[in-house]
Amino acid sequence: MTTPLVEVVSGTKTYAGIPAIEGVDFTLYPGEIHCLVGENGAGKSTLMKCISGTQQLSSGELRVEGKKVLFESPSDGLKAGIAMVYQETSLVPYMTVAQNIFLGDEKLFNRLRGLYIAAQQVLQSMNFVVDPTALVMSLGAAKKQMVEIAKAVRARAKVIVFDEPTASLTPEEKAHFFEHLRILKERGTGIIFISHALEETLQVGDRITVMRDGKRVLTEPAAKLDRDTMVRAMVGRALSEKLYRNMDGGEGPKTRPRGARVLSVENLSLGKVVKNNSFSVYAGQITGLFGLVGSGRTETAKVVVGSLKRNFFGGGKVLLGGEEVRYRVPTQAVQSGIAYVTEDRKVEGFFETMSIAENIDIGHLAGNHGGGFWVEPQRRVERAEALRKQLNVRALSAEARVVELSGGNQQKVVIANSLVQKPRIIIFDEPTRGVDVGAIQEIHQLLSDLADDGLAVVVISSYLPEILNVSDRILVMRDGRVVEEFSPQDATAEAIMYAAVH
Amino acid sequence: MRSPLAWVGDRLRTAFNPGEEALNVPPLEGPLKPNDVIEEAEVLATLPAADNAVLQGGVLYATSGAGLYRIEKGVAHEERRFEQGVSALAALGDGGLAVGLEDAGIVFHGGARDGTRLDNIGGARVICVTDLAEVGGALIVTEGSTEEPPARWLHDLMGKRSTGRVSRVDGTGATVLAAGLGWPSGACAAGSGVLVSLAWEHRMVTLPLAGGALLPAWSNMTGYAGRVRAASGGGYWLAVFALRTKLVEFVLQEDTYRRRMMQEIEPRYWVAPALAALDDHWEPLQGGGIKQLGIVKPWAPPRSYGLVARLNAKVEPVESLHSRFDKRRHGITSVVETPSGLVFTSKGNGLVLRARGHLTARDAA
Repeated sequence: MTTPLVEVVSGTKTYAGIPAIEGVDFTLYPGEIHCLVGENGAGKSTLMKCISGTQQLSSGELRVEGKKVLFESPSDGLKAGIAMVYQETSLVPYMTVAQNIFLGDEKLFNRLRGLYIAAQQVLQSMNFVVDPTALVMSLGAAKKQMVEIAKAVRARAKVIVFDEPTASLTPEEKAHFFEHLRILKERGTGIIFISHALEETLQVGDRITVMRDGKRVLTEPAAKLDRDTMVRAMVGRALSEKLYRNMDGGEGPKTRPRGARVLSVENLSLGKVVKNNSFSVYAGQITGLFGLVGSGRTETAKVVVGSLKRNFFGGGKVLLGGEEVRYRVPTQAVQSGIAYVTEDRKVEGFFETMSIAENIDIGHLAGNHGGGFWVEPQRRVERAEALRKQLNVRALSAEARVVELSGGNQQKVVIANSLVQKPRIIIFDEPTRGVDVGAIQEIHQLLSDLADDGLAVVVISSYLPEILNVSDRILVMRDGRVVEEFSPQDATAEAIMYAAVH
Repeated sequence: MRSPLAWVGDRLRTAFNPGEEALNVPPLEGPLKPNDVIEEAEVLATLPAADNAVLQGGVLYATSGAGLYRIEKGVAHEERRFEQGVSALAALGDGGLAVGLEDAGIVFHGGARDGTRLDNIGGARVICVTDLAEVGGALIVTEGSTEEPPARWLHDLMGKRSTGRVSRVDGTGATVLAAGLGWPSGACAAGSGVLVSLAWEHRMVTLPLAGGALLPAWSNMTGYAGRVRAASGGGYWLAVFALRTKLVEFVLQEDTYRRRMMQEIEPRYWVAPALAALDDHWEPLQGGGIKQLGIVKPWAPPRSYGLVARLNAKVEPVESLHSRFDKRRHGITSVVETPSGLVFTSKGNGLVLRARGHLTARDAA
């Protein structure tokens, strides 16, 4: 039998006596794609950190190619051929692609020309169309991902760990990425693939391991698994039929009747990103806004809420309840009853070292609901506590710091931060990106409840099952404008994707 | 309230970019989302220029050119032929019909006023009756223009004229309620007043029966509103005879180009709305050239289109019936609700059509 590239035997890692992973067995064979799924906080990342050398196991063994190893640092892991590609790329934005690829492995004297040629060779060997002289900060998420892969390939990694690599990729880029995985696999590289998108793991994985609460629940060949089984294993309950009923051609959700038109965007233009975009949003409904990354959805939403400026001439109109509005700063939009829940929560969504209560209070202050500058600590906590309970934010108290929460719970704090503003229109930008499957269901339920309460809800998402599941009306954007509208009854994944691409 | 800074910004924008407003053509979305209901509707009769469907005493009437027809069991029987083309028709409470004739005023057919004629309102000849409606015992007359006959509607639009008027005719005589309007093309009772479509102004307004200020009901419409009729269960049915497009709006702004186009090119080839596709390769814009991978894109600008909209009591669209631009039932000029379904005429393609199952009162909030 082939020796596993990586083997973890009864791996346990404890932080301050509390186990993050406990007695986990894990193997990865050459030329295998081993997918790792589980809710946020299930211990996937801890396991990977132990494999790549960022952390050390408290007990148990790590073997690489059959030999027991003890990595002191990630560079030990890299020397042993284990590379990790993080969800938030670890590239240096102010350096070029080539410099990043060779980072940590430079010669004493480096000639840029030679560096660029060598980088170009690496990139071309993987069929990546990335300019090696471009600054990393100028690249999109997909291209950054490509640079990360090229970096790992150049380091002759035998094992590459991908942590949520597809979260920010468009469907085409995903297909391209999976092709790269296949090439790596053919070269005999072992791949560990962490993802929340279960369909992807079923599609690309050879074996799938499900983790829950720090323990390995099951490891099976992908061919033997389906989404239901995986979800059940991940959360210990059956959610699938509630989450993705529309994807299987099942009976869709009952669509809510259209209320009054509350928001209209007419001919909105912003540089080359948003081009003559026009659409309306109705109260009491969830309007799903689907489009590929770069189709101008986020920018449109940001123009509506005043955090981006449309073109001064020919920039179009935003009508709120029939009245034209033009916000200079987002606070004005918040005060008119428009809330925007950002897609990039870590950068724009919260202050991570502040508590849940403080974060929610900042949203409350922006909403200008009276009270002046004086904030009663007790009321602040009460308000936060009420929202924490309403949204089921799992934390010891509202005084817990946001940085300590899992992705799903952080997202709920960001939502609470907007809900406290008592909006009439709420725009969710990628509400479940990087959120575990249990929290996804809670967030979807929340979206539904808000629409049932008569709010106009806009959900921007690149994730088709989500759009199909939550929307009462689906708008598809392509190249800066809305190009199609679907009702959930006549929307199919293919039709939506066709509109989004062509 | 908008800040003074915003006000200055708006003035600057208008001064430096005067066309911006006109190019804001709202898309067909939400309740106006395209479907194929008109395309799938049953053909009741074929008349070369089917227009003016009305229901009088349980009988469906329609006109084509100078002929007035009864539509019975799928056959059109000629009821009467007039000396001029019929441009408007209304069912009256006394069982008669009021008939607007091209360039020849209004005549009454049947009922108490059978044979009487009205040629003059407010001292001006009535040459372009676009719609007639009986409201509170009075006859409301919409005239698209006081200068152009109905057949030259395109000249009126591209000539950017606003000479239309709305008048009330009753036992005491005829009174002009509002004048200087951009092609009033439809009228219907609305509460204690009249709901009027103003096609070239892309809006619908309500007007008190005694005259007075126009109250906006639906502004910046996506198409050229035509005749409007009351719907059962409240609200209205509106025939939209063509859609606005950014290209036509643009041509309307470019006065030099527009004038030369009107002087030098045959009207059927103008960059302007039409009631039907020409099936001629010289025709501008039908299909808009926006075709990718063999599929005509949904946002392609239509030169002709078929659209009937259901409006609620607040004159907001709640439902719509469409014949998309690549189909062949365009230029819907009239609509009437009958017990057997919704009947409408495609003047562009010469059809009297009936759609069933679109009569539910579905008023939105």
